[in-house]
Amino acid sequence: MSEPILSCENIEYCEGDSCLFKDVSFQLNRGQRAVVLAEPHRYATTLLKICATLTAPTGGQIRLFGRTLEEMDKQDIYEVRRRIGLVRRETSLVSNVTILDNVSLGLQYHEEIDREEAHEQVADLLRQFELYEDRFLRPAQLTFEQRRLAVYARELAKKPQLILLEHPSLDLGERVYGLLLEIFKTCSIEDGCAFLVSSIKPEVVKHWGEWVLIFDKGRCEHLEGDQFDHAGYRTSMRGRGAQLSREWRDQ
Amino acid sequence: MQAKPYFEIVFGSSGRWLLNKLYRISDLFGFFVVCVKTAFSYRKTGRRLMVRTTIQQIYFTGFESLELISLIALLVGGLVVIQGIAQLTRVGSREVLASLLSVVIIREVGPLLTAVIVTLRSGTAIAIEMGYMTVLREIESIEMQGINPMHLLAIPRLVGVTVAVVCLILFFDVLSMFGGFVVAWALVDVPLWTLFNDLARAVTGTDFIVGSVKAFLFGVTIALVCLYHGFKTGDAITNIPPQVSRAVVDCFLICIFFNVLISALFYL
Repeated sequence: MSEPILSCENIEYCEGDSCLFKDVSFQLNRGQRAVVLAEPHRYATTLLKICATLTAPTGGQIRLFGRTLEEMDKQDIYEVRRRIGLVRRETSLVSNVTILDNVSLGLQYHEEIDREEAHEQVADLLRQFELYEDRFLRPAQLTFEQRRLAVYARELAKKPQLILLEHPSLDLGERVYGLLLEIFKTCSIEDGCAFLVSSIKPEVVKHWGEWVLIFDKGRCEHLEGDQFDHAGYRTSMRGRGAQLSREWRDQ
Repeated sequence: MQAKPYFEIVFGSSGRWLLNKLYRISDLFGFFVVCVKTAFSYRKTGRRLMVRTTIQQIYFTGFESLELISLIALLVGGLVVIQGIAQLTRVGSREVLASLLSVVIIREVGPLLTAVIVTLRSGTAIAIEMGYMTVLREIESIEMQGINPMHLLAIPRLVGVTVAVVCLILFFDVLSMFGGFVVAWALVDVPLWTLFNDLARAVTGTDFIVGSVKAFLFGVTIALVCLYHGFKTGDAITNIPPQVSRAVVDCFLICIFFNVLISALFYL
């Protein structure tokens, strides 16, 4: 069996006395897709940031591409980040350059190639994401949906081995979301990309979840994708909502 | 409720104020060390992109402010000569006009005024740009591209502003001399050639060294302080204006401190 791309052992994240989560363990292999469902979503966001090396866990061990964070120096961490694609809800583009320069920024910096050559290399990707016609526009001139697609294109231009997505369907129309799923499916099958997707919508599990991680009151439950009960999850969330509103009303 | 002892209030708040200032100075110095370390450890990475960004910064800070600097330099040169003539005629030493110009402009006013103009024009722009990039998570995006933002964003601006400030100070000195000479020639009918000769005698090698050292230090200070405050913005957009005003005040204070220090070292 191949070495896992990402493995977390007893990860915990605490702020002062309160812990967001404790003892979270999982591993993600090449080509695997997993979903993190959490309510409130802050748990999942923090977990994604930990997996992207942007936040350090307060306990436990995280291993990326076979190496623990303790074994890496600052330069190694930047090298690891090149192999991780992260699209968070607030992820943005650099606002004072064109979409073409945004998507090819990593290539221009790391590969030491001409600007024009880097632009040529990302042209196909921009066509795939239907952004080629607008490649000379700046982020502010695009629609929200296009900006989001440009972020996806920029992350894919790195040819990442691990992709971390927060709310992949957010602000995307059905057709564009379908396009995105198609592109990522190719990445998963042909390039062996692993995906960790966080969401509050249980429907996401259908598309992305070979297994599911559910955060509930700081505890974490690990389920196989086919064991996941969409209707049950929905009902329990609805039930919790109803309970909360009852509590507020009683107060 | 028992009132706090008076000395505790006074010493407590002044101590906190002092510690806060010391912390800011040491933090700024730490930022400078990180910049130097980053410049050396990533010197072979992204060179084309870095060179392009540095040239853009030199163009923005240096070339685009030439118009403003020229106008101010000519006016200041003229002003110094007008005041000089008015005062020197009274004591009958009009022949020291050229020395006065060199002392006032090359040694003090030129570097300091150029630093003020660059701080107000480019320094604030850098602090605001970095502030916005931090707040809008553009820096996080750059980090996720495997790029050290200190290398991609800070180093070209540091080099660009320093080079531009050195060139601008030289330009300011030359142009304000010219402005002064034209005013002197027009007001008191001193032959230009005599003024040039006097100036050549008055300006020493030390003046050039002092001017260059000041220009270099001012350039580094402006870029560094503005970058530091820009990166320190945090995650609220309302933090940007106070950080920018802090950057401007710190730039002025540090530049004036360096100006006094260097003048004292070389001329006392």
